[in-house]
Amino acid sequence: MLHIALRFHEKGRYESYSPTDTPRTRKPKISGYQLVKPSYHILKLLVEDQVTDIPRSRIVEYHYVTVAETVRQQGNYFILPVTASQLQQIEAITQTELRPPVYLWREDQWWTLPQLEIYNTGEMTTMRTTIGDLFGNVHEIREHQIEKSGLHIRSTYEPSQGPGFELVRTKPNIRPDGPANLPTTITGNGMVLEWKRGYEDKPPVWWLRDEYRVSKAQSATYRHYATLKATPHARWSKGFAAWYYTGGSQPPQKWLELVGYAPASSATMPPELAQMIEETLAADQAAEREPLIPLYLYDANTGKHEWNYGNPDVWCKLAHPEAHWLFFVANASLIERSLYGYKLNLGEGTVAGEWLTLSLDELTDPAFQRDPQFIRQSLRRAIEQVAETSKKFLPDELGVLTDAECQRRAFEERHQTYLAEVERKRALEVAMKPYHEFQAALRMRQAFVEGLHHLTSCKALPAQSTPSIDDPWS
Amino acid sequence: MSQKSVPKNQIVQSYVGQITVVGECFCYGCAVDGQQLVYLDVAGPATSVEAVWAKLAQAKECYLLPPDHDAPKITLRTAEGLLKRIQRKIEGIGIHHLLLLHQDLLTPTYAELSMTYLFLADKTQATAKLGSHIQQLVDIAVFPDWYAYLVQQGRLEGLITPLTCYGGVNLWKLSLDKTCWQRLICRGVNQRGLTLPN
Repeated sequence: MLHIALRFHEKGRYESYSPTDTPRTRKPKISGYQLVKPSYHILKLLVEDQVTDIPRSRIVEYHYVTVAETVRQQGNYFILPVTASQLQQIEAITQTELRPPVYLWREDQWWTLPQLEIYNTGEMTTMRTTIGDLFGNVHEIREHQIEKSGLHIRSTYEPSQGPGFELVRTKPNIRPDGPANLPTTITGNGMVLEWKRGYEDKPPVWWLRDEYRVSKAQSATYRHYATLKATPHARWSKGFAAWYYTGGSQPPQKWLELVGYAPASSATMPPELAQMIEETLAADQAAEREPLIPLYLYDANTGKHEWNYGNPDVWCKLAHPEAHWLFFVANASLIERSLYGYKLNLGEGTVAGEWLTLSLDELTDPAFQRDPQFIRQSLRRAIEQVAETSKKFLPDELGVLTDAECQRRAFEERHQTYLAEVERKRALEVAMKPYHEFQAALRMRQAFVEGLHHLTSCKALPAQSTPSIDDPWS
Repeated sequence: MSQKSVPKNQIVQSYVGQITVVGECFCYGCAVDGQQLVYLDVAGPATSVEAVWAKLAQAKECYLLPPDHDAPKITLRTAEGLLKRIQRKIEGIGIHHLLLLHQDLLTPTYAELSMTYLFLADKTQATAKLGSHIQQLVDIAVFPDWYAYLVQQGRLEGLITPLTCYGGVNLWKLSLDKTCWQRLICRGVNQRGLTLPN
């Protein structure tokens, strides 16, 4: 479908002289538009029945019209559908005009119609300028060589910026109504994975949110924060309180797993291909697998290690169910890639513990598990919990001091330090006593010397002598 | 103003410095009892001298700037309503002469323990004035022959003390302590310092 854009200037509201059905004291007002002559002729050509002239037009360069509401407007342009036959008539109007504000929308872009154009002829001509005064005296004559320009009719259509906006494309809507091979909404594990169309020309987006609005502690999406954050093209929308994925039309496989979506296996897929896909996925998963100890745990506990009489705080509990031992991490070094902690061997009827350093490379076995519920606590407390759960041993058997005992020892140590400090001060005081006495004596002597000097340097006050009786005022 | 040209019983005036409140005025004598202004002699345009009086009357401080730049300025202070103002215009030159005097100087109070001030311009006159004060103060007879003795002993007892004076003025403070003066007279009679006239 071809469209023609005609520029107009809105000229406010005019008083209409046309008679109205109901008698009114005021003249009715109508919107008036100013058009240049070619635009006016094209408008009359295309929609003559919807255009009314405003007869008050006194400026001959323009025409003033009112149009019916059915005429489409966009910006300062009338947008009118046009047929091929009408286009020839329009060309006849525009080809005698210099840059008429008329544009054609064709093949999803704007075109200027055939029109007059200024061009340089290539001929040179001399231009003479005479500079003189009022009395006819000539002061100076200048000559310039300039190129002659001419007008010619450009009979072709040229691409153009046009009005500066684009018309809505006339193509059929190519945007999909739903995702391919997937349902629009997948619910599972307390989360909802939804396919939503984007606004206007925005692509569709997959959204992952909690099924219900819950606190952060109970949020299923927050539980998988690390996984979601690690997904490329995934972002958290604060406004919608949901994760969204802009990486493509299909959601990431990891997200589908999070919501527990199992695609119905297609019967047409050969088993070799399915196996290959499975293997590739498994390899990807292994590569993307969350580390055994997440980074935030390291960050939170680095530099907080204190020996505390063999009962330090431990902040991570690792377990190997097949080997029957637990490992409580007390300190870690990412640079050396090592963990320092207490290993608790739970044998049949025996229990043993030892402090050792484990390399992170030794923990690549997927059988290793971390207790996500484990929070930072003292080793003794952690052991007590294990003993309570297993009921195979008593916590005292391992020789780890209780928290109270540790506190008592710490207090004793502080007390001893304090006593030692007091004793040191006392000894220092005793040792320094003669020195201080000597200093005091020196100060006293100095004060005495100064006082004596002050007294001796003062002038003697005149003695209050009795005034003579003959001149008592003297 | 030369000291030689004035008569013997006149208060000597000599330039002390200038006081500036609204405009400048010139000080020709000043006496201070501790922090309290007792006597001030200024001359200058009417507005300037009246501004000095107004400021002092509101118990605000004024500063007397000596002509010598190195000398410290003299602070004039007074309690409210203690100064009596005496002002006159000197005809011909349009200058106002203002005297501020302590009320105790003009109207001494004998009925209670108080003090008064004496100008020592002429010693005889000052002695006579002191005798007059003592006569009115004590309940016993005081004879003119005793006045010199009273001045002498009063100074020794600290009942008569000089004030801090600037310019040519010389002012003394007289303590109107009835008991002390009576005891002083009695002692004088007893020790034969004072003799009854025949």
